[in-house]
Order: sequence, then structure tokens, then C-alpha cells
Amino acid sequence: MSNLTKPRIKLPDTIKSGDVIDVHAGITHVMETGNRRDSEGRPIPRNVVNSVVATFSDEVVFTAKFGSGTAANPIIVFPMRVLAPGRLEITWMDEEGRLTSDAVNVLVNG
Amino acid sequence: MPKRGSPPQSADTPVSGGAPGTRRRFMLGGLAAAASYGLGGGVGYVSAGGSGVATADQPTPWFHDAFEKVTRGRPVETKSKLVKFDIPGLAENGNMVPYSLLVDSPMTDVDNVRSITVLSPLNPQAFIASFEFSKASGVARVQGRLRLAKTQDVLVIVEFGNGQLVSASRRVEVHVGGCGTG
Repeated sequence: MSNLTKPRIKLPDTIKSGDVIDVHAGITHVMETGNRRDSEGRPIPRNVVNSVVATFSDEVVFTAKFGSGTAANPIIVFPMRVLAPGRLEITWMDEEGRLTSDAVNVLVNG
Repeated sequence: MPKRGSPPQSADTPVSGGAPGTRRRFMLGGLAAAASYGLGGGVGYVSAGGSGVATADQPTPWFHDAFEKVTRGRPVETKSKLVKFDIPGLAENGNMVPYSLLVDSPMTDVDNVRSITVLSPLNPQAFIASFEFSKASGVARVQGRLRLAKTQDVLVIVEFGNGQLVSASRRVEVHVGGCGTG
């Protein structure tokens, strides 16, 4: 079982207190549907990223659940109101139970 | 966490807490819903629920199951103007279709969007994604990318904080299907 790759987070360059920002997040993952077969004709087991949890200063602000209908290398763009600086952490998990997360400091600088 | 060996349908729809809704009640609600979504023809649709056999463009049985897990027998407003669902009407490649959702809501303590679920009526698995918002969301909007195996009407179901459900669907013509079925 290999590790998941490090996910990505992108924030706006400037954030003013009270702004609703769009958080861009993504991860590299094949999102295997379970419908495909390998070159020998054997079914490739399903394994998709099925859970994404975003916390800001340890409070859950947004969650996503994915099925196999979400494209490979999933990305999401979600909103978050920023009232004060804090730490945004996004954790991704796939159906093999692999976890990975990334965190960034959110500054109020506008 | 769903285990890998579990049946695809149950692993496919993490929406939990489904009331013990009977198949019959679901089919009655589902028929009305299917008609208004333009997803299926009335008579053939029933066989999808009963026999598990889906033909050409009727929503799959697992779509019905996923729909029921979200709606749990509650009525769904299909003509709501509150949902803005942007997705290309034509996808050369069904493997990656970008979409964007915006629900008109003040997102206050008393009037907010709890979740949005995106379902496929014709993919080999119905569940695409669901999103849960919070007090910190500020706005109910989200973007993602989905897979479509063939031309179909992608359905989104919005659940408001008060339990009210509204839906929107968009038809996407798919030239080369995704989902690894080709």
C-alpha cells in the first residue's frame, strides 16, 4: 500500500476579515472505479478517495464525500468565511484507509 | 469507513440514516420525480425498481437507491429557482466534466443549506459526490469534476437546514464515456 500523495491547497492572495474566500484543494489519485480490468483481464479493485474534511482552527468547516463518479485527481473549490487568522487543514481519505492532509496558515492581510 | 469487499451499492452511497422506507413508497415518489426530471418513461421505470433490470435510458436501480437514501421519502421541489447548476451541455470526454453549484441561501443559523448531493442516473455507480456546509461557509457554492459513462441528466439534490429538498438536473451529451467501462 503506497502512501497518498501530498494534497494541495490554494488560497486567494489577499484576504480581508469577513471575506468569503474560495479554497481550492486537490489531490492526485486514480479514483479506481472497480469497473476496469488489467491487461490480463482481471478486475482492478475499486478504490476511490471517499472523504474530504476541512477544518479551520480545529472546527469542521466543510466536508465532501466522493463516489466513483468523481473524476480522477479530484479537486474541490469550497467557500469559507474568514473572520480572523487561523489554520486550515484538509484531510483526504481513500477506501483503503489511506490518509493524507495538508495545512496552511490563513492570514488576514487585505 | 466502507470496507473494500463490501457490495458496490452500499459502499457507493455514504448518505446514512435512511428511514426504513418501503420500496413501494419509494417507487411512487420516484415515479413522480423521474417524470419531472425527464429521466425515464413511466412504465419501464417500474421494472427497474422491481426486477433490477435497467434498459437503455431508464435510471438504474442503484440510482433509485441512492436517490432514496438522500430523500428518505420526503418530497423534492424540482422547479426551484434557488439552484444554479453549471455543467457543460456537451462533454467530448466523460472522464472529466467540471461542474459548479450555487444555491441561493443567506446561510444563517435559521436559513441555510446543509448539503448538496450529485447523482448519476446512468453511470455504473450512481453516487458522484456530496458536500456538507457549515456556519463558516458563508455561501453555498462548490465546484468539482465528475465522470459520466454516457449521455444523461445529472441530478443534484439540495437539502436545506430545515429539511426541505430541492433538485436540479442538467443534460450532458457524452461523446466518449468515462468510468472505465469502454
